[in-house]
This record gives sequence, C-alpha cells and structure tokens, in this order.
Amino acid sequence: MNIVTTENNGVTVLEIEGRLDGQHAQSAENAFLALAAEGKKNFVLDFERMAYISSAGLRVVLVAAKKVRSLQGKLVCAAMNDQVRDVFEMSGFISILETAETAEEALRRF
Amino acid sequence: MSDKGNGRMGAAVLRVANRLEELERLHAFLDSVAEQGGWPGKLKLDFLLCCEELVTNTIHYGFPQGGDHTITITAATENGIASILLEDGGIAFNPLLESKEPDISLGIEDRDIGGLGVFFVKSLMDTVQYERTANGNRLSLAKALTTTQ
Repeated sequence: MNIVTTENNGVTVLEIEGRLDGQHAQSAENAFLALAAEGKKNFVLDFERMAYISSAGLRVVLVAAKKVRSLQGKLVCAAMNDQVRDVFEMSGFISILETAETAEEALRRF
Repeated sequence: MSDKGNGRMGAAVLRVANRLEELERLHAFLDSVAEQGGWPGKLKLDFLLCCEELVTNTIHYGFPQGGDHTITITAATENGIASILLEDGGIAFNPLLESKEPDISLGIEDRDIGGLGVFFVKSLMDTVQYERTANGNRLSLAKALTTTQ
C-alpha cells in the first residue's frame, strides 16, 4: 500500500494505492491522524487505485469519519471499485458515509 | 496445467507464520489457487476477504502466549465447489458461536468494527464448519463456483 497526499483548495486528498488490509491498516491510520493533527479537517479518500479493502481497512475509514466529525469537517470516499463497494454495502458503511464516483466529483462537494 | 478452468484442482497448501506481513503471501496464494481452479474473480475476492479476516483474527487473538506459530491454509476445487480449510494451533475459538453480530444500522458515532470480519464470512460463504481438534482449530469454508460471476 502507498498513500499519496495532495492539497486542493483546503481539502486534503489521500489517494490510497494497493490494499487497505490487516497488514497496512495501521500505517494508513497513522498517516490520516498525522494530517488531522496538523489541523486538516476536510478529506477525500480517493480509492481509484485501491485494489482491496477488509474490515481492518474499514476500521481506518471509520476512525477517519469519527475524527472528521469531531473536528466539524467533512470526509468523502471516492472511486470505489466493485470489491470495495461490496464491502461498504455489506457493512452498512455505504449509508453512513458520503461517497462520490470520482475524486473530482468529491472535491466539488466542499 | 490440463485441469485449468474446469473446476477441478488438487489441494494446494500454504503455511504462514502468525505475523500480519504474511497476508502478502495469502494474497499471492489465493491468486494462484483461483487461476488453477478456474474460480471466477468475485469468488476469489470473497475467499480472499474471508481468509484475511479469519487469519487476522488468529494472528491477533489465537496465541496470547506469544511466540512463533503456523497457520495452515489448504485450498481445493472439486465438483464445482471451491473450499478452503484453515488450521491453527491457537486457543479454542469457534467464530460461529463466539462472535457478536454487528449492528450495521448504527450511525458513524456508534459503529465499531467488532464482529464485522466473521459477519462477512457468514454472509459470503455457502457453508462454514468449525471443529476443535486435538491440535487446535479447524475451520472449513466452501462456496460453489457458480454462485458468483
């Protein structure tokens, strides 16, 4: 897994590449929390290049969503592939998180 | 190989250590098993998710005494059924009995991840069987090749 972070008019985009699984979840969580500690509160999680997610990865997304809510910011999950969408649907996350078809569409929500 | 794609494959075995880095090898193993057994892409992803959830549980909770341990994963394809057997020598844990059901209707504030992995396994597999053996835990997962595309 690799995370590329870019700033876009006050919104932080985290492009997660590879697998957000039990092996990589902790480093993804650390990367997010470091950005939140810097004062960032508006985020797009761009899953365009993310191949796979498990419950360990969902946990990171949930940690991020809770943190953003406490900061009164906003979080949008963008560009989920079929596997990621299935896992979001099975877990019920699809109905409690804001999602967008692409990162560009997500950025327009801010 | 001549069996490729016709739903028959001899058993393939992967032994991993109780470390999260080993998930890398689990992914590669499932890729290989799925190709040789002619598993549809969705079926492979379902097994991958289920295996990761269960192996991760075993790594986190199976060996509270610490130390190096082995988890054995055996995959087979026979009579149109894909199956995976997970065996470990950890403490007794029957995920079918001991896991709480997650409430997937809760909002962000109240949600947690506890029990979600086993919920995925129960949701995605056709059959899940647990057996406590003299050596440890044995969990078998099976799903028909035709149930997913």
